[in-house]
Amino acid sequence: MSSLKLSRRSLFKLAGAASLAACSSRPARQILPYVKQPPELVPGVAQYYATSLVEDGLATGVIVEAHIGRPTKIEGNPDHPASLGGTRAIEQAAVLGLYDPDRLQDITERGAPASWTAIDHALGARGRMHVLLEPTTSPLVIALIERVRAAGIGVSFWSPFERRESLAGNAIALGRPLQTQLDLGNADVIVSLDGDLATDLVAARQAADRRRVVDASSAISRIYAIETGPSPTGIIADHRWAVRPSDVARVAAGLLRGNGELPWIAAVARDLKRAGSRAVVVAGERQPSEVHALAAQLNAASACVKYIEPVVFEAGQPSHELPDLDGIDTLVILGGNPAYTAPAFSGRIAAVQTSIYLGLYANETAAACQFAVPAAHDLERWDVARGPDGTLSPIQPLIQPLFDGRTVADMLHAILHDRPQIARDELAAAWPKWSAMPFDEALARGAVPDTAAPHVEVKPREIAIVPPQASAPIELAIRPHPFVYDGRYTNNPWLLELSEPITKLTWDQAVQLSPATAASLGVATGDVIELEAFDRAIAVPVVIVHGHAENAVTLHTGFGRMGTEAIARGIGANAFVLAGAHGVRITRTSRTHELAFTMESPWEHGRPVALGGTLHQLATHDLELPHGPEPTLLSPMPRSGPQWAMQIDLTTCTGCTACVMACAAENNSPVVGKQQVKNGRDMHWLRIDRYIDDAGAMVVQPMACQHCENAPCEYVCPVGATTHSPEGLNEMAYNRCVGTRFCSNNCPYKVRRFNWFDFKTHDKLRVLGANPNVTVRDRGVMEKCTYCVQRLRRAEIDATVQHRALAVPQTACQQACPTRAIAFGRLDVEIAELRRRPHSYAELRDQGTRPRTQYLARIRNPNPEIT
Amino acid sequence: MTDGDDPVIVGNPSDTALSDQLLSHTWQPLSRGWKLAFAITGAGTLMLLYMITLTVLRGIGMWGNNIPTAWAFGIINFVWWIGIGHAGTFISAILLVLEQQHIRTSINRFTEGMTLFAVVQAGMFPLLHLGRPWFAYWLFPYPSVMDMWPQVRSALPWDAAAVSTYLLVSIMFWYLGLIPDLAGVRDRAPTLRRRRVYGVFALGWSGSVQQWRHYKIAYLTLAGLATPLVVSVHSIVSLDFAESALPGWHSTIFPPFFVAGAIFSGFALVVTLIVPARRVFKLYNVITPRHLDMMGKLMLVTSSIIAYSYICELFLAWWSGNRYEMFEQLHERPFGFYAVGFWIMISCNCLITQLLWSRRIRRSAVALFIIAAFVNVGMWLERFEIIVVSLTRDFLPSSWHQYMPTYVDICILAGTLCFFGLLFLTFLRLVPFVPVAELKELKREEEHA
Repeated sequence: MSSLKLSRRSLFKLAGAASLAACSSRPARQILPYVKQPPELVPGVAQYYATSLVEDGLATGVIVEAHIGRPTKIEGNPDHPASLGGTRAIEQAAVLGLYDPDRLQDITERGAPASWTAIDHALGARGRMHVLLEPTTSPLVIALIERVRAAGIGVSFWSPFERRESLAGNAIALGRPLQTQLDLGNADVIVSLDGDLATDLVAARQAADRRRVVDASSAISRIYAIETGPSPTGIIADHRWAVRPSDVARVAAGLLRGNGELPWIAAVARDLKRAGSRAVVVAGERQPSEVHALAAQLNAASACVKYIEPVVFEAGQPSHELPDLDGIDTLVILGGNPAYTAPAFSGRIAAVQTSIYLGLYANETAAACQFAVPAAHDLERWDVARGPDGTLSPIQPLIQPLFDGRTVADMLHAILHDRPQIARDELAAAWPKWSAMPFDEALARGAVPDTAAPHVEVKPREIAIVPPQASAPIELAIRPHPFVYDGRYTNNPWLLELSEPITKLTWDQAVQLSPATAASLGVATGDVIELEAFDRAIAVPVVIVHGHAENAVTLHTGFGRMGTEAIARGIGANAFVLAGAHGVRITRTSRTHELAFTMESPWEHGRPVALGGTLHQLATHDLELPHGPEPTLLSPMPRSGPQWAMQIDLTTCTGCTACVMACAAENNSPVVGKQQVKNGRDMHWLRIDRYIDDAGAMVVQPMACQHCENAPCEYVCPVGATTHSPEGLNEMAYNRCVGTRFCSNNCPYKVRRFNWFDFKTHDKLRVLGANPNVTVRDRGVMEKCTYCVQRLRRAEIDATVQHRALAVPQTACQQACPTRAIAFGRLDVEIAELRRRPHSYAELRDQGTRPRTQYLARIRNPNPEIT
Repeated sequence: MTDGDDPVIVGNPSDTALSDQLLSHTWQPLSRGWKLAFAITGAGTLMLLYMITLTVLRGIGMWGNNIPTAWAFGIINFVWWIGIGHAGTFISAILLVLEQQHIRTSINRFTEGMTLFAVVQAGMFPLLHLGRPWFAYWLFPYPSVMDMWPQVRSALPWDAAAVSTYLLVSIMFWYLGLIPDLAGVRDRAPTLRRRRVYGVFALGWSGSVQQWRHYKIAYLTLAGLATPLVVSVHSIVSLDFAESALPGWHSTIFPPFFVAGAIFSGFALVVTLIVPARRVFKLYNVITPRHLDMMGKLMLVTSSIIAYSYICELFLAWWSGNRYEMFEQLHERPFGFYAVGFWIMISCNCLITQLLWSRRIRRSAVALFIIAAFVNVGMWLERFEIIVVSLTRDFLPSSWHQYMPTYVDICILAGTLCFFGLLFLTFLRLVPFVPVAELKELKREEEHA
């Protein structure tokens, strides 16, 4: 407070102003319940709004389901080119992020309540000012940034995982920092150099569309994955090799030469050459620029790679580095968490006289700054952003900001001392500058077609690229966590409890290493090791991962959070401390750490699980798959109405786990916490079984209630709480359940979940995100997948009321699936053709359960040259 | 000397002497040992009540159960206790129906009491293990306004019916047998208060010929009713497992296997209780080596049936060629995570009992007591093997999950042991624990024979 010199008179002036100014930077239009109910708003019937969720400036189009003004569920927007209808787990969990009670709720100064007037005052102070933003694509914000710059204020951008290396690589190979746009829909051969084909929703869909096996004659693509630790990309790949991070560049150089130290490189190179323009090399963003440059050269003839000018404002330019803040008097940080993602930066913040942070949480950066201002969540604000291809995507609020959150535009207006205006009006007024489509229509669609950035015709330069030789005895690969990312989602309990696709770990961070490396270090899963680089060390527990490269470790970011977020705090260590290190020194400690996995054994134990084979085996009928009904003595259940069934394609399933999150979000699955997960009491109705098959490859199989026609659970229930519907659903009557749990004991798939305690949330804020159409289960009752029966009933009611044929609804898992691996519908209509495919099979068919959920076996298309 | 010549009553005590010996413990001052035992078991019972309160208040999650191990200690304890009860009914009902009074009479009151108290312990568990115990009555067929009935394809409503029937018949049988002796206490007790209290419970018994005639008919009828229960209750309990599809449970030999195991464990507990009681109350003249010998032989027979069943299970698992059965029986139980339990079980139930081939060991109270203690442990572990080990390793390896009991599980098991002990101590204090009237009758018969 020493910096703020107040006379008695000005103090009273300020106090008076503060009491009048109602702490608002701009007039807000109230979002209130209706007094007169409009005809389209029917209690119990959801409204759907198109909007976008933004990460590192890039928009993913979503459709948000709202019940009487409160958002409850997020789906992908099929009309949005960055979603195509699919979502990641992160989008699914955004609703809980909105209703997070740990969000920053008031303007604070050093943790004590403050007023907007104080912020206004701080922004009005003389001296040099600098604004640090997250990368942005919003034309609205960009226009403001340009005005801010014109006022002599420095602006820079920071996010730890934004595209940096690919732009730099393209700058080397193409002469300009262009953005790579993949078009995998036409790719016959895909080589992934630590690439991410699975969590990039568009790449995942395009790659999957080329791998839908109808029969042995299906010409599916071939995917090679070269990566350090297993990833969903490696799971769908036909060939996967684990290499150390530094070897990826050498593999890339080998592919370009046509040969390499490793025997398979030449064969892959030949396959790439054979495929000609239908071959593509995908380099991962965590790879150095040289790998991207080599990939650009490898892709010279590829029709599957296009280049566009970077969508993110000033991407690849010096403004995307952290400022050094010398001589800066006022620092304004708008979003992000640089004090955590760049630990050295927090010291620089502290040296600035006045610092203001706009963020969702009172996190590390908020703690380093003088003022913290609550930010509006994506579901609370007006803005516009661009998708990764440049498509203009409006952002509209679903709800009045819960904690009076401000937007980046609000803050920039405040810096510019603009007269406040209504956010929606401002956006609507500026809209014609960016698009010819009327604003309201764009809002309804969620994306403006034909606004993608034009392709730039460019040829790679013929220059020799020397792969970096950096190497260390134990190499380090730092990767964003698939769910909590760079730490911005770590306070979301849904995402923490979600089983990590590769390790099946929940609620924790662990450093992945191969069995052999672990053996040479003398450590086992759960042992804590110290990773040291640049004289900085962090202690992290070990998780042994089969299929990880030797003498290398993979470490996820997002943990070691030290903000005030109650859930995120205290889990793991900050991996960003080691950012930039190629290698680490590892020291064993005597400590161990309890880890909560959702699976204990990675092996198949000779069981017929997650079945699969090669395309060749399918052609030669060499694939023995259990299908067709087992004979039974039981009389069939009475049938009437649509016969629901599900088919899951294991060829295209990447194990990304978005479906599990979608299921939990749709069906009000409770969060049980680390200890209960460890006790085997996680409550997800759907799980992704992950096995290591006999060949050592990682395979996945989504597993939920199979809705058996001869259900073993039904006949053992003493009170008839679980019964069979005429539509083929295995139904649970929660109110009738007394909780003997015999049904679970007799379920061969163990997909039933039991409420061991009162698991449901009692948080007044969090309950707002619950789906009102799904019963919240009480303690002591059994629950399980219902095939989203609430959606089935809604569809049936709509069909009856509107006198039309039944429109088959999507289940939550199906709707979220980025690769469309899950099909749902009527057994004799939508599913009939899938059931007839030669690789359709029933899990545990020999148990005679006749499951309604069946699988399409995982069909690989290996290169016959490589054995 | 052959067994048949061995006396069932040593010496030739007079009726008065027998009455004095066997009834006086109800009015003599409490011994210090009894008080100490009562205090310990009473404290354990209070702990049990606390743990039950905890379970009902917070949820069944206080136990170590999980998915896949949705049944564990609760059901193990249930099956163990209910099995123990069977020996009592076997001795008091089946031996009565088969007119084997000479080996039955001295010990049947003990075993009936044990049955009753074991069923009380057992009956708690199906109730407590429910997710919502307050709705346990839904397992019974009562005319609800919703017209909802139990789902009778499940073994559990039958189980509820069987156990409650068993409890009711056991109470009636036990009480009916007690009436003449309660009258004996009424007639001999030194204080008026005692005479009045026992008089109420003696239901006006005067020992007239007509009363004896009705009494004998009723007693034999109840014995006839109780006899099939020895077989049916544990057969139905075994169906809780056998009717499922789980490897390790899905087995047609379960009903006879379970019944044999029940009688086996029951005799073991009878020995565990009778040997100390015999010493403390100096009952050497009425509980003779012949009784011990008989119980040793029955333990040997049932142990042999159990051993045969184990071999059957292993053989049939291999013979089935079913990979899940083979894994469960031939790999997981003998060599898996809980293999120690399996080998202790085999040692206790099949190997140690081989000592019973020796007549000297059968007639040694101490040796028999030690063997019986092992059998008690072994039979508990058998249920652990069947229930927990089968559940932790079922079909899909993805759902495999280890089971560990919590402190609540262990305290509840210990608590039921204490509660059982408390009830038994109360029984020893308040009730003539050797049927005096029947013993006198037997003495007369022996004299005439």
